[in-house]
Amino acid sequence: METLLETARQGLPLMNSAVLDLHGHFGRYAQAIPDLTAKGLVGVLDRVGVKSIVVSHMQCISWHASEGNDEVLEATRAHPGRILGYALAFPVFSAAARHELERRLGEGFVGLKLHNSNGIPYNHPGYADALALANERRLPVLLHTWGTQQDFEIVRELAGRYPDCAFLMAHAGAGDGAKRCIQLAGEFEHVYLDTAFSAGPRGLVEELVAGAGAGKVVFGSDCYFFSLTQQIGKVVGSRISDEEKRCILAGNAEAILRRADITPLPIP
Amino acid sequence: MTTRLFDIQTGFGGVKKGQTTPIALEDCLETMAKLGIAKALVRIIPDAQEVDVCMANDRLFGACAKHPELVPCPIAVPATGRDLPDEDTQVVGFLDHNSGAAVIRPAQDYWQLTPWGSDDLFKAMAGRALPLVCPGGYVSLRDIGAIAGRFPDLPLIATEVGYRDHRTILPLLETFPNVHLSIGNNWTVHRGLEKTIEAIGPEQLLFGTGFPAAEPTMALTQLMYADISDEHRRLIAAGNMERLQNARVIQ
Repeated sequence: METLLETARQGLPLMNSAVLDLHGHFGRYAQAIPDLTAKGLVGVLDRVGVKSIVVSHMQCISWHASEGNDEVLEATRAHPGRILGYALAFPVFSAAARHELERRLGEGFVGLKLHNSNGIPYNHPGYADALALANERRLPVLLHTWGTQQDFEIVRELAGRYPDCAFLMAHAGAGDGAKRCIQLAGEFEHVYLDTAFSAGPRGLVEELVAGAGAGKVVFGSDCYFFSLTQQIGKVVGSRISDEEKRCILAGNAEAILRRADITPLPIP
Repeated sequence: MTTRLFDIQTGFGGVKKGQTTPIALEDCLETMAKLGIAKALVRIIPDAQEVDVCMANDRLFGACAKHPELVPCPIAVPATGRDLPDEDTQVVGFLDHNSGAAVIRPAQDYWQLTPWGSDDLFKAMAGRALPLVCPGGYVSLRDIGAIAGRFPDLPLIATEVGYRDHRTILPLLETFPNVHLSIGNNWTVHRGLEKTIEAIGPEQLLFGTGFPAAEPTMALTQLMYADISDEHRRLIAAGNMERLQNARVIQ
């Protein structure tokens, strides 16, 4: 049987196109991204063998969250089942953030994405009602993290307060934070480690798997902030078994979506 | 047919600060075998502790002599301090050891990229068409443009270019056909290969992995999954670098 690396070496779609990517983006950003189209994104999914990507808008760092959600909605409707949406919520008022999430879930969004580059920590009271709703619905909540002490303290606090969310720690291992990510994933069954990291240090995926177990690591590309075709390589080329790679590339994400009663549509 | 690969951004033999074990040559060779990489332009990396360029280059030449799949990329330094062989002698020596390029690291070796402080080196390299590797940590894109403009016959290779630099790298490549881009770490641009080829063609793009710092499979999948023609893929994978190698003036 051909290994995943052998398949990738030939540029062929992986795993009968069953890969799930839980960390994607949509929309314009400050740096140049040469193709901003949903069609271009789906073309990449097809080539690599990604069934679905869950995207949030680049406005996740800004107060234009709702406008960003509108653009993501359009993309999800243009490509049902292939592009799924994380809702953004800006914490002006806690009730408003919850209302925005509730509205977007009604439109088919599948989770919540928060980013702290806006200077607002995830334990800000303005996020509380939205996080409570995410907890009620057992949603995946993708949190941008970069290995800071504050990141770990706040994720630990949220994980304790919202036991039914699936918290995805984006960029696990960045900022030399692999050991603390592993520790948190070990402390909480519902904390997962996301692989998105532009530089992709050699050995990081192996370290996360050795420390936290393959069942706690999920594939996230950060596409199209990064290149999905590049980010997939760190999992495919890592020195772990193909069974573990399959967990990271699909199995764990399937379980996370399933617990929120989300079943991505089959590829048409 | 498997695409032939020539990795232009890799190396071995150096020790990272705070670590005690160098990156083993065998590790580099095993990685090449695992990914099916036929040839590699190799440097001594990490290089922060390589303070004697002559010793570093001799170690590199010694290792490459035993492995024909490895093409050395020694460190070049302007002879402005009168402590090293003159620039022509350096370049001839590099070519005698079948070097495929030479790398510069101005801050590390205490010199500056001023015309009066470095052009004798670039003139010597341009005269023999020996490519100049410019790692992002040492040479800015602005400096690459300045060198490329002064020496249009000197092939330059920008490595370690960041994904946020796309607004700058594209006009740099467009303006200076002698500048080449390694697609390795950390150039992770969504549909970057496709759109760059649309803008300037495939001739200035080179396959590089960023080993040992980065997981090298990332550059491989970025190339293999790109929506480009097989002909263009072959050029980036190895053809463009082989063209640069064949253009060297070896006497």
